[in-house]
Amino acid sequence: MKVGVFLCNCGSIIAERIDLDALARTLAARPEVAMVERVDFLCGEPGRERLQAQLAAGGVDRVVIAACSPRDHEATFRKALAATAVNPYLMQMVNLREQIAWTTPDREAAAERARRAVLAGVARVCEQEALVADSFAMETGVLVVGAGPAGMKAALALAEGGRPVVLVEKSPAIGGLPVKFEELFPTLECGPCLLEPLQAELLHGAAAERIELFTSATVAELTGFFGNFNVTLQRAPQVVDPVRCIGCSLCVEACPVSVATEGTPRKAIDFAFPGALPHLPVLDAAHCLRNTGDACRACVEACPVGPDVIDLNAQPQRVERRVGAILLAIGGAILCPEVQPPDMITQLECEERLSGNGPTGGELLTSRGTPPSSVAFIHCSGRPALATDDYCSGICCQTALKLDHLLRERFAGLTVSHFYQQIVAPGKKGRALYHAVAGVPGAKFVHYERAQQLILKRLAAGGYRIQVDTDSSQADLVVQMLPLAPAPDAAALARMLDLSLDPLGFFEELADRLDTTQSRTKGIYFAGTCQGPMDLQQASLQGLAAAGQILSALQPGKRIEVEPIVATVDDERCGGCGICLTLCPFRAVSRHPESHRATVNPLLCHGCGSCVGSCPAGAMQARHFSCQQLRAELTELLR
Amino acid sequence: MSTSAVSDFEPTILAFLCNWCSYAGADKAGTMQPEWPANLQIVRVMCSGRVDSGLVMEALASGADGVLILACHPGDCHYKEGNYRAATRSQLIARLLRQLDIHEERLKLDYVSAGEGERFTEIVNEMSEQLKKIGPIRIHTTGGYTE
Repeated sequence: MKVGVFLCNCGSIIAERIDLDALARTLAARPEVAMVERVDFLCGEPGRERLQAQLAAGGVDRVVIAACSPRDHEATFRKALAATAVNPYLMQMVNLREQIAWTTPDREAAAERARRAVLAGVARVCEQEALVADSFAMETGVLVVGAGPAGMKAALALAEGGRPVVLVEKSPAIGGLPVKFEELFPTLECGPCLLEPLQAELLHGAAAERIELFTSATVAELTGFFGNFNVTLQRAPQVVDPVRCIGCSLCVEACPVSVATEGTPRKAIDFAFPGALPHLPVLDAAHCLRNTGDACRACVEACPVGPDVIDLNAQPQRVERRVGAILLAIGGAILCPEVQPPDMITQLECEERLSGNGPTGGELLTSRGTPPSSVAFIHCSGRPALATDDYCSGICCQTALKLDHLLRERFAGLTVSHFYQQIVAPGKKGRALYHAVAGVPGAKFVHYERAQQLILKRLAAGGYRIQVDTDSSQADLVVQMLPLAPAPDAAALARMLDLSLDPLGFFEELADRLDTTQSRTKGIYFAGTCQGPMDLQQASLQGLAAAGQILSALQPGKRIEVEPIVATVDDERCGGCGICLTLCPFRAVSRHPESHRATVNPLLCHGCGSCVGSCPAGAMQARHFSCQQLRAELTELLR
Repeated sequence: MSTSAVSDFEPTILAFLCNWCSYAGADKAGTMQPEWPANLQIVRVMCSGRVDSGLVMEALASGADGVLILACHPGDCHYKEGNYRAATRSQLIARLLRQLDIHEERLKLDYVSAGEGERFTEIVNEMSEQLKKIGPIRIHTTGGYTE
């Protein structure tokens, strides 16, 4: 061992409180110390050049720098060493300034602590190992799951950035929820109109050739890790050829099967909804006559393009792709109760019925078949019983205000009342919407403190009486504003990808205030309401944020460099207990299927050492913070 | 470590500080010109979850009168859960100390964030006072101790 020790005067800050000359003499007497030098401002350019020059002169194979806190300049000195023959990890900093010189006026005490600390640094560095950063090749393609606004914004940004995108959507149409809404808050613009340019760009724009869209598809399997994911998609049979179909809807007209719905009946082959994109009819196999053995080919025969545009024998497909990152944008859900009393609907049902492209073609009637003359909105409906499970979805109030406006436009003379706990209308335009609605003559806003104060009583003649303390109202139709909840398929997807859910059941973000578009697993990102309740503006922002992070992380031609301070497994000692696996917060540890021995993926490991501290066999080892290194340090400190 | 009369006893404390919270907190304390116990020795780890029972026992066996593990506050761990590992593990180690007839107050786990300079100083001084009451650690060796 030939340790070179550099003592920084830090101008005079350290030198004033600690006798560095005496310290230098103590060090020089140690056989393992090859040289000791005092330098002014080691962190400055001249200081670093001096350091590099001394190392270039030879005679030193590892370095101790006694100066300020490693939190200040460890990176600086590692970088300086990278330009020398001494590996940057054969260096240890000793915190003489913040944790010794400044912490006592007693010069003797300071000198003694400094002596111990620097000798401990020398002992530690003698146990340290040269470490080299690993690098991995990476795929730059991205899998985006979910083609709602967040997924679409992300897919487009990524494709425009030159990355190949695999966009998977479980339904036959893109656009998510807002594409089915007549109006969007706060400005009340039309949902499909707002999203149309984005959808057109995605499907037919300049970057569209880099986007591979799979509708009626889900993720069946995912293996691998950041930069190297293998994904398998399960796709419903593709009955209609997306390239050759011209969307004329003659097959729909010809179909003999009519399926009853709430509004306009649907055919067994039909568009998902008016205006659905991609503009392709979809076969509802459950209702198709061929399901019962009938040899009906009405749609095929009606097709003006040719007999092979519709393939009634199409089978489900499995599609495999390799990508570098995964972006989950599967959305949230408004969980409507299966059974509801008459004239009580949720905000989602209200939206669907008011929407021109919805199942009723825009008609909304009471259970008696008449248009409503009064509507009541119950805000904050369906809140959980436990305060600790409670959260504000942030969008329902503005949704109620928007629906209020839409309803009064449709039904002249309509009376609308709102029953609320708080009115939430944040942002630059939310309050304007509130005032527009609250300012209407006859508008009624009734505050209730607790759910128990709100009493709904069904009336024999139809509709409800709503009582809040002494206030009494009547409404033909009651709209319950339910919270935006995690999507029903979120938990299964989380299990498949080994992602954690937060206490509310949404995907758990890496950091709530500063990093909501990343998961704890490197390479898996989130965007939109699958991560938490939010409005369209925020979902769009998250899509772009995640895209930005991915564009930065996966760059063509570059390799992923991995910090070498990770955990490693000593195969000889590992007994396969699996404790490390269960407690790694970053899913960096996996187990060999046959030997059961643990392995650490250095790309995913953050180097915390929790697994190291928990390993009963001493098999898990911490690079650069090994037991030998820490023991050498502490025994010297305590000698 | 040698100590003369009990009144001159300056306990040796070995503190494991985590890079993101308590080590930074100690740095912050330093900027406030505090007065720390004379024999406070610090070992930096990336996360309190790294500190295993072997290291704690090694510290006590090497003459530390007390071992301090300072972690991020619950919920704030830079690595999400390392501080929870440290917390449960320190309870296990305390039981071990009881079995070995070592004062369990020689091991202390507490939480200090990067901004809590004053709190750091308070904690180390409090531990020093506590250890003064308990007295220096006595290490018995029978037949020598080999690795």
